[in-house]
Order: sequence, then structure tokens, then C-alpha cells
Amino acid sequence: MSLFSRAVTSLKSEGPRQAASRVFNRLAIDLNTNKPGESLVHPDDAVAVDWTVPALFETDPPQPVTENVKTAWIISPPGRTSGGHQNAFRFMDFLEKAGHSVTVYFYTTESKPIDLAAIRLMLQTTSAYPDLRGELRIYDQAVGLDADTQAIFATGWETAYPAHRHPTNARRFYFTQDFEPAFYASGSDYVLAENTYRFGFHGISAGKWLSKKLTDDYGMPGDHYDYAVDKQHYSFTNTSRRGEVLFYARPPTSRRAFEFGRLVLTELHRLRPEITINMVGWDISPYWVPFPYVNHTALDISQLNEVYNRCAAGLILSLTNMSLLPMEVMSSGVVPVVNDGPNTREIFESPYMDYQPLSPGAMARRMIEIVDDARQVEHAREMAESVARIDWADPGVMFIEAFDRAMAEGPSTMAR
Amino acid sequence: MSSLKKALQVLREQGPKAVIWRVLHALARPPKPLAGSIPIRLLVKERDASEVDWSIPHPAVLDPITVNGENLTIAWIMSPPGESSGGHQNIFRFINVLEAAGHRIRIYLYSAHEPFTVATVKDMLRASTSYPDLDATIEEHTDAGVAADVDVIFATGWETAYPSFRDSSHARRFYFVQDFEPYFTSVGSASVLAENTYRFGFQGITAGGFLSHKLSTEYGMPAAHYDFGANRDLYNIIDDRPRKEIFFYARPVTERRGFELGILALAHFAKARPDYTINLAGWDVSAYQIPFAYTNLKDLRIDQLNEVYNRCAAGLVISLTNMSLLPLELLSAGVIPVVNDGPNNRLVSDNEYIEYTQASPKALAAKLIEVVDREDSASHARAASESVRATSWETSGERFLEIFNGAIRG
Repeated sequence: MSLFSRAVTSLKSEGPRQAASRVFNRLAIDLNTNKPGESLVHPDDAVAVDWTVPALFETDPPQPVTENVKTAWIISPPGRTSGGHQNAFRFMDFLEKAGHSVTVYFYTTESKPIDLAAIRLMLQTTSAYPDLRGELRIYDQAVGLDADTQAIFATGWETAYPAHRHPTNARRFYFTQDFEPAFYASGSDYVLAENTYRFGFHGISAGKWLSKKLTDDYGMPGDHYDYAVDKQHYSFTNTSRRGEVLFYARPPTSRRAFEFGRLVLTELHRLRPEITINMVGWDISPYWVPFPYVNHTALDISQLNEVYNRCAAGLILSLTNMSLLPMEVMSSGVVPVVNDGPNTREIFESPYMDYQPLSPGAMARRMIEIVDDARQVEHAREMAESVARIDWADPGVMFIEAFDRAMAEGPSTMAR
Repeated sequence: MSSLKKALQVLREQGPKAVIWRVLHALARPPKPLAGSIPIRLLVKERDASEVDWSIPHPAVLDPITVNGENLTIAWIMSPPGESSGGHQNIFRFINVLEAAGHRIRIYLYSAHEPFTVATVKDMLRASTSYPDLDATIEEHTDAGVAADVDVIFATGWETAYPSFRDSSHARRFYFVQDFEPYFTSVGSASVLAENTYRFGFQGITAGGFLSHKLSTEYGMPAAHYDFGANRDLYNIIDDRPRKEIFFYARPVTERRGFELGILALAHFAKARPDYTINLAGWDVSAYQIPFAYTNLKDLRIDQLNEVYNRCAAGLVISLTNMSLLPLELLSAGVIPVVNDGPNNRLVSDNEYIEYTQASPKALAAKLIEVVDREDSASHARAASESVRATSWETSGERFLEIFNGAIRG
């Protein structure tokens, strides 16, 4: 690790690196060794892209094409449990089902070579991944993407660099799932990530908070699809009063603010030691926790509903793009106590979401009020029914509509 | 004390109920973390972070005490200073201003993890030429809080705002803010805890206009700023010959100085203008493989800088949070600063000789080239130096006192 990364990691406390996470220990371009692998982007890609000069795909946009579009997706190599990759592959599948073609290019700065056969096998044997017809390739800077590619999708911020460098005027899309600069301290990687929103790509974002932020703050045009909520696994089964609470605890994912949640629960336990605290999402045993709790580790989806149904309130912190969890726990009759902010308010509007300021005392008191609420059971039932009534827009339909609209734009309407 | 002895003592002092409660409590103790467990370290003491509830206004903020403006006792809570810490040096600069105005200072050192002794800190301060000689008392901050005679408490780094908030003292609360510290980490618990301090209702006095603007508009914090000074005795033009060198403020250990970004930009510059010497100063960068020829000036003493500056036509300074002091010092020495564009820098200095440029490696390099290629570089350097003639730390000190007195009276 470079001095630079060490200085940063000493400032914050991070847990073990989550295999699927793209967030950790990758804080700097390693000019020490000039070995790729530290920053997510190759230094030569970062240097080659000068976004202050409009690119060919902006000055000379392509003619409309709506059928049988040849798309290329640039993405980091997927892991079995990586939710971000699973989501991206689902949307590639939507494109194939809509009659377009997909070629996947894996981009990484890791020194370990990409094992395509192993990835193929993992994708085939993991139910969370769709069966994609498209070809899987390793991105090679010397070869680049197929010259006849008509639409290029960048995914994680670093893939926007090779997407920008492609020499043709193929349309550029940016499949954004989170505001990734926030994964870094303010430094070179933050800037390199932030600048990708200025590349002139067409964004298709997970949820409207993200697409609005990218348009408002960076002038990046774009659409969004809504989150899909799993109605099948979560339901209101325990209709008696509940005396427990839960916390969505993911110490290695800094945006889930584990340490902060622990402060909230320390205060809750001090005030009401008899309330059972459940931790779900990660094995907490290696972490020091100053109060008793039930460690559920990362439960299987089939077991979550039972745990949820024991809880009156659930503390769920999201410091960048919001988690799906608030919607899921509501189906099980748990009032989500969520940090207040545009990133949590602009995703999903429900009067049952309990927005609180990020003060440990205020959040703890609110959770206790929810446990003590005389109308706890009726409130939980009404909340669960309200979620069941919502008719979710299909994210796949929203995505394909946005894609078709952008592909149908003529050169004159691509003004920017 | 053994558990048995302890139990007997509790039995004697608090009766049998207390013993039973304690035993039950012990059984319900939190599970012990496994071997090789992961410590979680925040700059703030956990207890302070947990106890502060800023959603309820602080009594000293809600109903401020009246103090006469003269001969006050002022507490400053800060982390233990290090010899080369620019942030601490600046704190001491303004403490010096307060002492000169007749106030008495009590310094409280607060640290959640790093061990320190007051004696070593005092020795360092005495020996170092980077710190002024003060009459201030220095002690360790404890849960007892500040002394009873304290009229005003200044918080400094974000973590020190917590002990100030928790303190039962009714002293007036100030917050000496030198940077937007939530930016120092990725978004997470530490950034949230830092951000929340701007909601404590303390009166902010900030280094430059970017911070006061940001804190007042985004967090509703009452805040005013002093402008940066540049010491003309240290930084001035001593050489009018054509300059064939450039300067980069290279601090790989300080993320907000964008070291990698600067190196990417300089790689372009080195190719385009191979006849120019590239000076890297601010840190010993010999451990880093840098893809062009450069002079490693490491960490220079303040009295060595002007001579280097006077050899340079342009200086690349990247500041991703609050602006560095360097651009003004460079200007004073006739060096044209190329600085990444953004409100964090423009709101601190709108000096027309600073070349604000978008943070793209190629664009930064192109600007450096444009600056060194100027035909009128000598006269331009003169004019740049003249443009900062009026900025001095004396002015900053006066402005600081003006804000302080205004807030105390208000």
C-alpha cells in the first residue's frame, strides 16, 4: 500500500475488504511502483481523456438507430455476490430481450489476470445472474472495442475512461448506480471519478436522486429507472406487539455508517436495556460493540422476513444512494428509521418512512417511541398494506424506453 | 479489584438488589469480539460522539451569557500540535493576536487515541521557531471540562467541537474552522460526525470566504471569515532574470493536494517543454516513481522557499478542499499559480493573476505551457507580485478580532 493510502486508512476505520466491493484500498494511483492495481483507472486512460475539449461523439453525433443496436458494456470483473454487477447484468439482459446485442468487456487495473472461463462458469451457476447470450471479453487497450459498436455503456466510474477513448462517434451511455466520488476522501481519485460526469455521456441511473444530482451538479443529461421492490419474500406475519429493533450493519461499507449506527444503539441501550437489538447484513463478531445484540450475520433472503417480523423499528443509514432495505422492511411491518436528506427523500415517497436527523440521541429516542407506540400494530399493518398496494413501474421497461429515446435522437437534437 | 471484593463492596454500599442487578447485567454483557478483531477508531472519543445531541440546541447557544469584551479567559480545545503542523501554527498565530489584545488563554489538548504528554508538547513549542511564544496555559482535556473561569471556548478540529458541546460551562462557543473536514474521508461515519459539528450553533471564524459561505448557506452556521495573508518579508521578487523552471506543491500524503493528478499534468508538460526544470516541494517524493525528470526539493524550510520561487515562472497548486496559502505566497514572489478551478479556491482568492483551470491533466498542462510561454513574463511577474502587496497577516489578525468582538457583543 502506498504512503498515501496508509495515511487515509489510518484516518478512518475500515473493516476487511469485501470481495465484491470496489471501494476499499484502492485510493491512489500507485506512482510508487507504476503498477496498475491501486487506482481503478489506468493512468494512461486518465491522462488521455481531456473532457475540457468536446469529443467526436458530441460534435458529430451518430444517425438515429433503434433496432438491433450493437452495444458494448465496459465493466469490472464480476463477483458472485456483487449486487452492482448483478444489477448491471440484469439490464444487459433487458437489452438482449429487446432485440439488441451485447458484448461485455472486462476492465481492471488488478495485476491478477482475468479468468474468463471462471467468470463464465460463475455467471452460469449463480441464479442472481441472467443467462446472457452476448460475448464476454477482456478489455485490451491496444484493441479497444469493436469498431462497429453503436452504443457504449460505461458502468463504474473508471470504465468511463476507456468508453470516452473509443475513437468512433458511437453513442455513450453511463449506467450509474451510485455517486462514486463519495467513496473517496477529497483527492485525486475523487476528482477522476467526479470528472466522468462531465464527459457528455447519457446517464441512466438507479433512482431519481442520482440522475437529478448528476444533471443539477454536472449538467449530465439522463434518465432513471425506479428501484424494484421484492414483494415476494417480505410480508406482515407477526401481528402482535414487537419489542425488538434491527440495524442494517455493514462495517466494510463506509456509506452504511456502521460506527454511527453503533453510537445510536449505544444510546438506545443506555435508555432501554431490555430492547433486543438485531444486527443484520454482516458478521459483526470481529467488531467491538458496547451492548448486547443478536448477530444475524448476512442472512439468506428466505430467513430475513422472520427476523424483520420480530422488530418494531429498523435503523437503516444510507449516506449516498439509498438502500432498498427501507422498502423491504416496511412490507414486514418494520418502521424504517432513516437519515434525513435528499438522497433518502428523493427515491421513494412514503409517509411511513421515518426521517430523522443524524444525531445519535434523536435517532435512539425515535426508535424507542416506535417500540412504545400504542398503535404500533395497527401502524405496522397499515404500512405493510401501503407497500403492497404500490404498483411499481417496471425498471426494465423504464430502461428500454430511455435507451430507445436516446438512440432515436437525431444529430440536431443532441445539442449540449 | 477481584469480582468478589467488588460484589461485597456493592452489597455494602448499595444493598442486595444492586448485586443481583449487576450479576444479571454481567451475564447480558455484550459478546466479546473475536481474536484479531477490528478496532474502530474515530478522531472523537466515542462517549462524546454518543452523548452529544445537537438536535436539541445547546443552552450556551440558545441563551448566551453576557461578557464584557475585555480581558476574557478564552479556552482553546485542540489536538496535540506537531512541529510542522501548519494548521496548529495558524491557530497559534490567532491565539497570539488574542493575547496581544489582553485576553488570557487556556489551551486544552484533546486526543481520542494518540498518546501524548503535555510536557513534550511544551518542550516542542518552546524550541520551535514556527510557533510564537505565548503566556497560555496548556493542559490535557478531561471529562471535567474547561476551568470555571472560562468565558469563551474555541473548538478547532471537528472532533474538538464534541467536548465543547458536552461541556457544562455556559461560556460562549466559537469554532475556528480551517478546512471542510468532512471531505477528508470517504462518506461514512467519520464524515457525518464531522459534518454535524457545523450544526452545533457555534459562531464560526473561518480561514477564507469559501468556508464561511459554505457553512452558513449549507448548515445555517453563523460564520465570518478573515482573508489569508502573505508575508512580504519572506516572499518577494529578488530576481528579474527569465525563469526557466516551474514548481509543484507535491504532498502525496495529503490527499486533498491531488498529488497524482498533478503528476499526470506534469507528465504532459515535461514532454512539451523538456527544457524547463520541474521542482517538486512539500514532501520527499523519492519513494515515488515519477515518469519525468524533476528536482526533489523535499520539505523546505520557510526561509529557503523564496529563492526557489524566484527561479520559477509558474507554480501548480491543487487544492481540492479549502485553498492552500501557497498561491498568494507564489504571487508575492512573482510566480504565476495554476490552480484547479472551483468555488473552494475562487471564493478564497479572486486575484486576477491566479490561472484557474479545470482539473483535467491536459488542461492543467496546457495552462502551465501558456504561462511559461508568455512574452511579457517579467513584467507580468512584477504585476502579480504588486497585486498582493496589501495582503498581510496583520490585516487578517485585525479582521479576526473584529469578528470576535462583534460576536461577543452581539
